[in-house]
Amino acid sequence: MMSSDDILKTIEMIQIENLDVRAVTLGINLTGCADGDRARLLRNVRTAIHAAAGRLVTVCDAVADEYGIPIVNKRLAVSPVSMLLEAHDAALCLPLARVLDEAAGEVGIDLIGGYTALVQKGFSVGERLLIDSIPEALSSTSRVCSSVNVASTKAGINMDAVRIMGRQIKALAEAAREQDGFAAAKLCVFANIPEDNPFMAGAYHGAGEPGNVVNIGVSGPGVIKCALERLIQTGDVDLGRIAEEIKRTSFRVTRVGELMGREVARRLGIAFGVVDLSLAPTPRIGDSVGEILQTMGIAAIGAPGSTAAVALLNDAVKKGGLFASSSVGGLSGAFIPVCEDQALSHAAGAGALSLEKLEAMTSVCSVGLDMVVIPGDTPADAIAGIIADEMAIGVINQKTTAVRLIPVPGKGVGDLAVFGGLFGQGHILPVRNPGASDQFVQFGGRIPAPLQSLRN
Amino acid sequence: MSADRPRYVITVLARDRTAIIADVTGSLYELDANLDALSQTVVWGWFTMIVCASYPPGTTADQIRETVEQSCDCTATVLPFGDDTPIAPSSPVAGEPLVATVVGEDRPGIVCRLTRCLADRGINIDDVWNEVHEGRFVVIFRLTVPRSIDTKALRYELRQAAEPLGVHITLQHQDIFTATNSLSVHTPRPKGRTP
Repeated sequence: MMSSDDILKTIEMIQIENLDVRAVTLGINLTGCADGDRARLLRNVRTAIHAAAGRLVTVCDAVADEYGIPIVNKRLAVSPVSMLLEAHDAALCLPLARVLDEAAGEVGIDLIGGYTALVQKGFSVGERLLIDSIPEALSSTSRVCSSVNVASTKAGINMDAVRIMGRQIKALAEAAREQDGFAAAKLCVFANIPEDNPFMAGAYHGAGEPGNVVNIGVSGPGVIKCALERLIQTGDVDLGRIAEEIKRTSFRVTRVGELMGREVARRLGIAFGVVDLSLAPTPRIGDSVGEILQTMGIAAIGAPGSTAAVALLNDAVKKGGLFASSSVGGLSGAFIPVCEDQALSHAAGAGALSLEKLEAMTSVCSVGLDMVVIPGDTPADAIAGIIADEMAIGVINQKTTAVRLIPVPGKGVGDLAVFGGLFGQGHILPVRNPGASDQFVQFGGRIPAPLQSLRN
Repeated sequence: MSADRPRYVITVLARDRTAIIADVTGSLYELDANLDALSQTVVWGWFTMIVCASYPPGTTADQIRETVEQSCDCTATVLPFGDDTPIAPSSPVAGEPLVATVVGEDRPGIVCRLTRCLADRGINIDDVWNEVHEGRFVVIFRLTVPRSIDTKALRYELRQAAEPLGVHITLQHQDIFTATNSLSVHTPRPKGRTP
């Protein structure tokens, strides 16, 4: 029997604290679309997307109406597009990106992930074609998102790929100079990329996934912040109790995602994959991971203690979610995307949060250096160095790490870069000692897989 | 119990006090009754209970009422259960379990107008209770809403009805509360129906 208290608390979570289903992401396997004939291949891709996702938005809206909880984003994640390029040449890249973009738009979707290459051990023909095409493909489309996995615990770090990605990020930002380099916000460089992550820009449909699959991203930083505020007001609190409260709240949030995700999957007649219980902030006040850290007593995010606070948060979120669902996957933890989180963005602008401290925090959060704006004149090899550091954290700690950096063309340290919408804005952080690690990056080759890779 | 034992439905209304259930059920036992179903609640110090019980052949409604009223200072009503009364369904209509929550300033007419709005649409109220929660007047309805009714439209209509009353009404699927507050994801449905 439910108590009034349970009912009112749940309603408060939905109406005041921004509890929602952040993303329903439909994974679509496009490998069957491969064809030696370019026109036929493009037609196959469009048809496959329409067939799988034609009803996605309608069904999501109906389920959201029925349950009275918003499903904020409906997205698509396709199998790595590089696979479709294997038997082709560079001339296919742009038309293919455009077909993805158009088909997503035709089914009412705002972002489609999967312009992806997995190159941790080396490049295939298609992967190299795809990576080379990223600046043009992403700057000339609005919905296509790209990810490149350059490292894994099993393979080590492909430093040739890291160096290329440093150049491509810079070229991509430059191609979108008028929008403060925004196109680079649609590209993630990964270590240990998950095959079932529903969150953009890093979502793609992995080789181990079913034909098509529905993955769910829940969020709810506002819910956790409010729960902690209520707990702290009681005065009887220590960090153990804070962790416990986060865990319980994460349980509730995950449950909502699981319930609604399974219903969406059932109505679409598509397999249900995972609930990713990440705390994904938006620039809205009250929907911020940074605010949770502030509620936990870190007044200036980036101050000593910040990494420990993120570690506590990330771990407690996972524990609560794991108990709530047997289908937890994706990234499942706390995101710290600087521009997309008003408290983190403010801390960076105020000088409290440096790139180096962010890097430390990413060793215990669920992703990595995310939505960080850096000076437009940062050398490509310095960007590659930042990527290499972040990849090393992921490889050694057997976790996913990612880099989504935007070198803002024509702007320098302290300037404001504005992307708008969910992508937010941020003050440009300094990159210290650019050029001082170029030789290391330029050696190229592969950093061998670490000891942790030998687990069999 | 055997089918030839007549079944009665008994309601009891009394000022709440300790041992009242023991006294009432003792009086039923005195007449060799078997309890088939029972539910009780207390509203602002008033105790009320409804019981279904079967009795030895020949037991009359008046006999039962007198015995119950003698057992404690209460008012009892006793009616034959009726052979054609179906046993069990919590809701006389089939549909989805929803919860409507009304929050606002207390004033006359809120429950009456909103329940009429529900009744006009063939929506059954399975349970309703109210309380003052942190200074706000709260009424919670557990509903069964026929599947033919569009939830989004109903939500809009209820809000329209609630607005002139100065209250806010929220309509949610009960599964949301079950999923977030219990170990189960779904609210149990009657057999043969999958959520």
